[in-house]
Amino acid sequence: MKEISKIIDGKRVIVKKPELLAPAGNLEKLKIAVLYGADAVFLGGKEFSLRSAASNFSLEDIQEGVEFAHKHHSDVHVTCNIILHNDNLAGIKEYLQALDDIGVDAIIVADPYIMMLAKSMHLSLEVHVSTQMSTLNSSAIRFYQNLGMDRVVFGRETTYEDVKVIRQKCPDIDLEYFIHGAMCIAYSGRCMLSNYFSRRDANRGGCNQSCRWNYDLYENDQQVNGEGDVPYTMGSKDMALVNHIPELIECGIDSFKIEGRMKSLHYIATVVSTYRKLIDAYCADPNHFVMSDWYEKELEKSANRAFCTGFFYDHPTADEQLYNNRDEHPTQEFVMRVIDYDEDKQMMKIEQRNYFKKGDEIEIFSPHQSNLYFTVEKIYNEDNVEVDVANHPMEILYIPVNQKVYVNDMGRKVRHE
Amino acid sequence: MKLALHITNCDYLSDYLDMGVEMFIVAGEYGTYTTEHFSLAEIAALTKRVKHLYVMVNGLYDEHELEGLFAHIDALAELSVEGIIFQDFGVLEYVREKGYHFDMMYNPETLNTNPNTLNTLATTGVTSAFVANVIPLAEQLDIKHHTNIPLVLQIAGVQYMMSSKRALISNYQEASGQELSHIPGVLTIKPQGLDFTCYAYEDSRGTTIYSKTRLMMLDLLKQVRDFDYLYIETLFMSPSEAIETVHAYSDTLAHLDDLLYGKYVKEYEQLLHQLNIPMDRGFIDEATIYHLEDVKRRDASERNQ
Repeated sequence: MKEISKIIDGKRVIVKKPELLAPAGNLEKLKIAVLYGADAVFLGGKEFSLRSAASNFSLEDIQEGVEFAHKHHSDVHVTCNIILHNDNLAGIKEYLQALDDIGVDAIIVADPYIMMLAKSMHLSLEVHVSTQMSTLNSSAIRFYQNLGMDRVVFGRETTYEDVKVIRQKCPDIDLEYFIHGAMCIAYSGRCMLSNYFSRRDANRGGCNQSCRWNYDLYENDQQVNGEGDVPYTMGSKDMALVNHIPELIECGIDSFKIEGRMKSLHYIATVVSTYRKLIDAYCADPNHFVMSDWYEKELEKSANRAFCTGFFYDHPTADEQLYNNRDEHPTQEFVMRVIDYDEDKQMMKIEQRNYFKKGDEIEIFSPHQSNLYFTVEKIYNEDNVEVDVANHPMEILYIPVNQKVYVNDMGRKVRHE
Repeated sequence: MKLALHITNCDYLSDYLDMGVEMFIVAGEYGTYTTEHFSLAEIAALTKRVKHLYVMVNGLYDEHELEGLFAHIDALAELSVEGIIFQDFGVLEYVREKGYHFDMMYNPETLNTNPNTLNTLATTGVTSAFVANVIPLAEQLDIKHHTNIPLVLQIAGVQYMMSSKRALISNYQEASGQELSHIPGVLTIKPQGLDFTCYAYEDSRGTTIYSKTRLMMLDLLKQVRDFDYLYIETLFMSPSEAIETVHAYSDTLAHLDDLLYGKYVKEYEQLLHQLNIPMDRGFIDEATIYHLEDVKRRDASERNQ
């Protein structure tokens, strides 16, 4: 296992910084993830990937994504994590070759056939074992290591105590751990609720999220939850290990994964930026790092469910599940993306993303600086006509702001509770 | 082709043996997706009565469980257990490292959906496998005809739907304040607005969900005769239902090649229906969809009907 920290000029610094791996549901999200600090992004192709509802990438899109990511020193991982059926077998070899030719850095795979096929083709890309295989122990990791796999993504059920032991027992293979995002209620890959209830194949990207539905409950055919009772459901709060990043860095995890290929641009920017800042701050001076609640509060701005720590400590309790949809809440509203800033005129050019109006207080967040706040006093359209409201999606507008902002900074409306 | 049976007790073992069942599956201490566990002493006793005994070591295991798990596998290796049913490759790795000679039967419930994967796994120490039952019969047969290792196909009984490490009954109990039975088979759940009832039960390994309806393939035995084992799941069956079911299948199989086959199918189907147990056809003639466009197309078509 690589050395995690070193004393440099009398100060301990982290030298084995984990990769921050972010989801990319489309090219725009990929670019934002990279610009906001992701060391690597993962995306799905049109075939062989889960999350069929995400706007998955064509080979041309992947190529553009790879070129952009590599230019910014980030890697691209492509999910090939469906469980293959007979009618999915054709074309997989050609697809893997094409990904390798494009320069994709790694594929994330669940099906052992694809794992071994990729290795037999002597490709340059790495092969990572998907979380769909629910790998929870060192013996299973040794199995994959013996097959030549380069990395194993832990099942989300792996506790921190177990992770520490596994890291010691398996020092020579990359280990990836989920730190943030939605959680399957079942062992990944072992849930067929969607298949039975709606004939949509969960293991090929068609999951209908039936674990989050409401159910009637019966004891010996007698219904036990009536009207007014808490409905039976199985959904989980979302995981956020923001307060445990230091322990995970110190135990030598190679990659921190953020879930959410179907999440919004706002989510990607907020979550990546927050974890980037946290990881960098800790690694720069771990001995004097003080955890601030700013990080968690920042993440909450893009969250639509309450947070939990998943299996980090042990089994999630009732408090970590979502009953009666309690703890689901709207995110703070994402209203603009900066596309230019004229320092002389102190005027930013923005792309409207959601309704806002004069008088609204806006929080700008950025990979380059701390968040800044201002009140919208004037809005101009492209014809330089002043308007009171911004109510046309993607409209280009100009707003005076006397603090420097950067291209691709994002603005969200400040909500006063 | 042989009949394989998961049993949760030995009460009717002699009857099953008389009916020609050859392969028996039981859960040991580390078994999951079952409601009863056999001790090592009970497994040892069973090996003396049963020629082909398989033990379920079929959980997904945490790191802190490995020491006990490996001791359990060591103990099984001392007995005349023919095979281990598993889904965690950590189990396979350990058996390989120790050089044990079990038939390593891979049963991840949901993942064995094409022949290439199974043939790949055959090179890693997997020596037999269950075929997933969430795919159409035509695909199952295609897998059988293109796979190099013995395969098991479920033909009867409740069907696995989901497993979670979470305590999904206890957690709800805590959240709702309701006292709920933890006896397997008592509690069922049904999605609101959908007529599909499932058993949900919880044990120390988490929560498991099975269909309440039983898979019924009595009339398809000729089509599936190439499978090496035909599996009957007796979980949640009363003793009489289990006996009647196994008898129906074994007797019909015995007449597979004679003129009475059709008559046996018809009579036993009637008999099983008289048990008043809900039956279904699983995914035998119904494929799943997963592309967003297909889902939208189907939903629109259903709305228009």
